[in-house]
Amino acid sequence: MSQKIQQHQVPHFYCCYLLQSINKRQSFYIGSTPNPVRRLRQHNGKLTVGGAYRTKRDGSRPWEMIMIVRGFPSKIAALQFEHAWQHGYQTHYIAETDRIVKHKAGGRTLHHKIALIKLLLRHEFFERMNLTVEIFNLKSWEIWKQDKFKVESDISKTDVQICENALEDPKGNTVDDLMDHSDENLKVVESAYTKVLESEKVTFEVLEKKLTAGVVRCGICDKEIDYTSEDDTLKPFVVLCDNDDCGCISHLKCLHRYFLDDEQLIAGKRNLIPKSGKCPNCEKISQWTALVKYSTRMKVAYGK
Amino acid sequence: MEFQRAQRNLKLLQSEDSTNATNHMNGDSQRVSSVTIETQVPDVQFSLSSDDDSMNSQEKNETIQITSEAKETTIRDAESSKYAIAINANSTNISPCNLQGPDTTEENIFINTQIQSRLDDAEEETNLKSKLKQFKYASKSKNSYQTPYASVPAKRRPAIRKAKPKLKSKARSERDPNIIKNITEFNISNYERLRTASLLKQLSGKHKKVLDIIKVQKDGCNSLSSKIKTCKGERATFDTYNEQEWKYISKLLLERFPHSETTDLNEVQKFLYGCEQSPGALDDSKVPEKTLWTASQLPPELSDKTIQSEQEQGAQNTQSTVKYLSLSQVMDDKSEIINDDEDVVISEEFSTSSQEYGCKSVGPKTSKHVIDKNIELTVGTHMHGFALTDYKTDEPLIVEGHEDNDHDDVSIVSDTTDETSTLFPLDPYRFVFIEDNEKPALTTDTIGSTQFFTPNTSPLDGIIDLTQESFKAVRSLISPLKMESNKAAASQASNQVQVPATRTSTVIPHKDLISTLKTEEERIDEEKFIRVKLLSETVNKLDPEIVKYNCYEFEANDSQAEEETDCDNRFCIIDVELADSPKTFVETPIPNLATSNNVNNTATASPTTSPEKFHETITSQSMKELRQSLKTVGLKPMKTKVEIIQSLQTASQILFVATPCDSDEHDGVIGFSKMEVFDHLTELIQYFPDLLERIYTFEPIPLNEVIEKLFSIEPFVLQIDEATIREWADIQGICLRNDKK
Repeated sequence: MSQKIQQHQVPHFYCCYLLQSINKRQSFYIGSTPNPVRRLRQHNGKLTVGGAYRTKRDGSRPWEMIMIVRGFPSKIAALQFEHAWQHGYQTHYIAETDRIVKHKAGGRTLHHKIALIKLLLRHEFFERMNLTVEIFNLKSWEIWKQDKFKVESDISKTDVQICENALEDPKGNTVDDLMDHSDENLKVVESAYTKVLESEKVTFEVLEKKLTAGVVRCGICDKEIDYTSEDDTLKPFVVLCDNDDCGCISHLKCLHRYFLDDEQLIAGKRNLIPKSGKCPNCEKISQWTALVKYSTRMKVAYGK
Repeated sequence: MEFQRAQRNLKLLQSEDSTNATNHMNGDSQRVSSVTIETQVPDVQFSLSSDDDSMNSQEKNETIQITSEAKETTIRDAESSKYAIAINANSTNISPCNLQGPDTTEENIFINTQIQSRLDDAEEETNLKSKLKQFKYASKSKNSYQTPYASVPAKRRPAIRKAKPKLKSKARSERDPNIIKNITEFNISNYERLRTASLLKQLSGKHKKVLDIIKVQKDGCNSLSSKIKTCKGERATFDTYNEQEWKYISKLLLERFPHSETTDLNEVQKFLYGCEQSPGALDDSKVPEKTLWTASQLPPELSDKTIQSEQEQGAQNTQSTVKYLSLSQVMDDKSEIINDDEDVVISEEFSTSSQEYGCKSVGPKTSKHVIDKNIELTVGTHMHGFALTDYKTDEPLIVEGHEDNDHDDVSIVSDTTDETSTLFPLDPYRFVFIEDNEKPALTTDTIGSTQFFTPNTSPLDGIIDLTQESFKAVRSLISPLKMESNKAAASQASNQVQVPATRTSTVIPHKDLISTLKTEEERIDEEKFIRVKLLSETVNKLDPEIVKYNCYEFEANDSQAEEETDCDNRFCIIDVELADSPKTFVETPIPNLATSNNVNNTATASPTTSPEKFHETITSQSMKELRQSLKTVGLKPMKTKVEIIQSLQTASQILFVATPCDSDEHDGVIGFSKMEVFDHLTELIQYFPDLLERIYTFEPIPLNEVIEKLFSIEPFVLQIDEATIREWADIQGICLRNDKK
């Protein structure tokens, strides 16, 4: 089976990003990458390894990464989002009645790009992924808040973050100004990227420490879990409660059923993937995507 | 005529020299002009009367006047004036040539022949049309009656055509007496008008337009005499027959149907044009001859005269009703003999509604009818004639008539009911329809039922039982629409179907359901099993869960749930499987399955009714609707109707099984929607823990893998459109990917 050969795991980082040309502010580029820092350097020609054909055109460089959407559970999901974002006029993730971009040539403004993100994140497929939008540019942040196309619903669930040291628009038109702006932008992106990686790494290490200590028992089914053994059957997907004080460990499978049962009680319908749920021990609410993220990484790291 | 023309031409040829030399006689000019109006083109006339300046100018004035008038007139005048001006120009162009004298006659001849050829064509056309007009109503009348005025010149022109243009004076002189005979009261100006009319008509080719123009001119003119009125009358085209045509038609009809009387025709005419009994207009004594035509000119009215003996009236009524049968009515008639009882019933129904048809007995016909011995015979022949269909004999009709009369005597039904005797058995539906419209209050139930079944009951003997069977069963058997085609087979088939109908009520719909799809498969058990085997081979490779699922179903089959086995092949498969399949596999989801199936089987009674209804609704739908419902459910599009129905049915069965209690909540005709399909798919996924784990860890899964797995447990999945599955996956958060190669 393919998945045994190459075990699936939620990538450490995968994002879709929006570039804006610093030189020509009306030029944009949408892409996706597991490493935005490296990719931005490629776009700007600083890193020659790796293609950046579309962003190589005359006068468009340097590029500024103004926002990213991160938290995709797989590369394919990120690519799907990227494609839908690029093709807002025809994607099936946006209902025809809701579309703000009707034609291929349309939707070239930043307002459109941002509104498309909002529309896409409203779709239940992406909504389930608990994606995070991170904005590196104050102007974009204003536009996000402005919500020109009124696509934002009353209850905005989208997790939007404005980066701490977000940039203003470039101050001058000289080459030095542009290059400085580009460098600053790269720093902002890099800080955001490393921040995410580090925070996740910390959480992962807690789980790793717990599992590698020896045999543990599932908090739900009480079966043995032993990530130190060679036996694969003892190394299923395992979840550690987010709460440091709780430290409850359980099978992902058990927790899955537990969450679904709770959801079924509320919604009256049994889905395949729960969105979130309370820890059976401490009742702290955890996002399913986060649990899966660490569980899959753990499995990949130790399971096989 | 031909001979005369030939003679005339000969004369003209002989006198050619003399006419060339003298060109034109001034003294004759007056007459010449008058003749040319009739027969000749103005150009020619100009050339001929070139010496007579006064005449020429007069003519020009005339034409100018006409054109000015035409300009004043309304819409089409712009165009028409063009024509007029063109003609003016034409005449002025030619006239100078003519003024040059006899030297340029050759040119004139050339021009004249050109114009003449066009005129010839036009004349031939008009001749042909006039000939055809005679055929239009097949009227033989050639005499006084409105010989079209336009045809007079048309008749004569050919003669002139053959004559050479220069010699026309002679021809005119010959023809003059004739013309004057016909059109004595016409003065020259009138001639001019007519001439311009004909000229305009022939040159332009737009007869109607020209006629309209001229009509306007004539209306404005005071000098127009009665002749013009006749002309108008001729021009007007009537849809109704005039008197002579009616006479001729009646003659023809009487020839065609020797048995029928003239009074019968009168009745037909009255049916068409209403009764002529209106107090002021016409009396029988006054107008014995004015029959059809006069009646046709009258507004339709209903007479109140019904002062006659019952017997007579009855007889007439039988006749009248029959006579008023239209051809379509007769052709629609499918029944053979109608019982007296029905007649009574129907007549009661129609006592009031009959008046709609104008079936009143009318004065003029009565005397002959009473005298007539074989009233019924005439009726029969009448029907025969009108229907143009092969009635087996006239005998039954005669008998009917007698019976009817007798019946009237005995039962003393009111006059109005008599009038509506139903010798012409229309479609039962038509009766019902009329009855609904006219008299909703009366005995609708009995009438409806009797009307429904009479057509079939008469040929079929022992089927009175049928009418007393449950309404549904009988209706399905006796379909008045398909009566013709199925008559022979349906009677036998109906018996067959009837028998099981008495046993159990549930079997019938089920049989219907299957018979359409699987022909006679259910009767032969062996075939069933064969089919089952085929499917089982594919299922052999399945996961143990499936086998178990089937095992359960097999138990259900043991408990004699035949519907299940028939409705779904899936269940049949398992019968064979059972020997191989061990019950050892126990997984967590299975209890769920068992419970769901238990629910299903306990509720088999109610689901069986819903699929039955479902089948009815589905089969009654059109192809478009079916496609639409396929789309709404999210199944793959199918080509044939059978396929669509089959796929919808399996979907309904599976989805009903999945959600037995929710059937009432669904909107739409099909009874379920995409959401049910989604829910079903979601449930199916639960049987694959591995797959489920991959799903909830957000692993991208190839679509084909999902479909294959689902198909392994549920063959129906293959019928679901791929887009539907993708949609479901999106909703459920399943990340799909393309196949890895």
